[in-house]
Amino acid sequence: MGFKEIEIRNFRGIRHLLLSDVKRVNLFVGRNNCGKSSVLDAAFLLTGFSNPALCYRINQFRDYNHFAEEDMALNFYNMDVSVPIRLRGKLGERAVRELEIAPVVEASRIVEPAEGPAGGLLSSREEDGKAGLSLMYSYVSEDGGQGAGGAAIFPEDRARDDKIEVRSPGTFRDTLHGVYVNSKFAFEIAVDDLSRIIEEKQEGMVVEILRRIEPKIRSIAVLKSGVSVDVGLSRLIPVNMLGDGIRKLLALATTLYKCRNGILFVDEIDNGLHFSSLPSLWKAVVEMAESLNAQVFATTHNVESLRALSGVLAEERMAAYRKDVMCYSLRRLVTDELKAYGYSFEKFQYAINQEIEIR
Amino acid sequence: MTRIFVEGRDKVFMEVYLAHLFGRNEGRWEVVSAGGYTKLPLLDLQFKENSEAGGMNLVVFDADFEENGGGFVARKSYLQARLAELALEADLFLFPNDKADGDFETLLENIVNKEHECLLRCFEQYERCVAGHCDAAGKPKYLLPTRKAKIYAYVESIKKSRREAERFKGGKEFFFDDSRYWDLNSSYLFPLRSFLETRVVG
Repeated sequence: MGFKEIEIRNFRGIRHLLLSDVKRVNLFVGRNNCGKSSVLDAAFLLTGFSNPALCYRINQFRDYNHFAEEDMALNFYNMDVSVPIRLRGKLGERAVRELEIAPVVEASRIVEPAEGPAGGLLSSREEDGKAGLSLMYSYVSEDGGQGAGGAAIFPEDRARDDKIEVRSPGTFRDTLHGVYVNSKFAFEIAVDDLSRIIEEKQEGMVVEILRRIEPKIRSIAVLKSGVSVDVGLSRLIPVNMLGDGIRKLLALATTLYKCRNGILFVDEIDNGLHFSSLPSLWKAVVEMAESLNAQVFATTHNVESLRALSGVLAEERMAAYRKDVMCYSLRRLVTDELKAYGYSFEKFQYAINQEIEIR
Repeated sequence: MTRIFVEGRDKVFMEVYLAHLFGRNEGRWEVVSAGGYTKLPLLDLQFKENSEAGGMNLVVFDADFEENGGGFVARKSYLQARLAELALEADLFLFPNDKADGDFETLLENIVNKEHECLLRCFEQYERCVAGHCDAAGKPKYLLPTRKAKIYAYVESIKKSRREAERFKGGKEFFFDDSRYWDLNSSYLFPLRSFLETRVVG
């Protein structure tokens, strides 16, 4: 399925966090700036632990497109690069993966003997070395096989901070894959992915999900002009005409389909959705995750969304899914440790019904 | 922060009384509706979260009566056992005064505005009258009104402005902050006040 346990150390605002009972669908709530999105980012890094470019990508999600030397510290706890970022994930009874991220300085450089010390001063520190991040990853697979590797990421050019150089010499091919959906891109429908769904004759599943919001939808197609739907009129109409709820749900369903046997990360999963569409969203997420054997990590701070999830799981026909869902309330302790209080269905539903604040 | 778990129908009273004692909340306390004294296992995370954040938990439930399976000693012992079993840290106070059998309604009956206390006597006469009607077999013919109904009748009987009447509709508002109805400085509240004063952090 995906992760069963995740441990995060020294990553951004998180000194330490242990998620010990990770389920198929995991929803994170907590105050602003408590670290919800960072938990997703860390789990995403761990999912693609041999891909150093993700260190840069996760900052791009936050509209930060720079990767200069001074940016190396951004993902370290208290920006202290002397303590490495350590991520560990348990994937099965035996399968474990670990990732350590630390700063690295490229030692080799060209020194021109003809160059004398500038202004006649000689410094013991010549600062031409290129600074980047090193990633050391290791894993134990379910059959007991072990492996390890390393990779690094550097700014391509000291003069430019928007291009990166990735060094990934290993031959490790990861079988685990994840897709991260940033709230900013929540309405972008991946046309290629939808085409694949149609090619694989699975569009019925998508149509069924969309019909929960718009019952008139009969079928879906990818045309030159984009994604269109049949709502019983004389011609297909672009899905964009049907409003944000449909588009968001379609985007999510399409992305989730891409995560078959993998992991989906969605920041602010309900962003832009009217509260009346939230039960449809959660039904789609919970059912699709199960049928596609996908794992979902999502964040929200929307109480309507929590009520909708609680309501969906309370339905008798959804009873089988209850054990697959966990809502984590993230709280910072006095020790500055981040603690996740995991609400299983019964406690989650009770807290929602009693209007107890768990966000 | 002090997190105060109450059974539910007493939540508004507790919030009003805390404001009466300590002024503005400013994050010092939070009143949580537990939904009943048997629900502690469903609330363990709220207790643990507050303890681990350096806060204090208080449980303010009804002592209840022997007739309904409670009573001060039995209920205190039951709750202490549940808290220990769940490894939860909390201090206990049982309505009405942490020593007698009773409940939230008992406490309210004891803090009504003395001017209107006669209304309770009127209701008790009505209760006796209802209880006096028996069927052919000599058994009580009618159900006795609940003790909540007594409090409701007390609040309902006091004259209200149109706006107050609107707020009261359906028993949603019991005007706990209005001295025409309730005496929040009553000596009957001293045990509760003393319990809270030593535990709500300034």
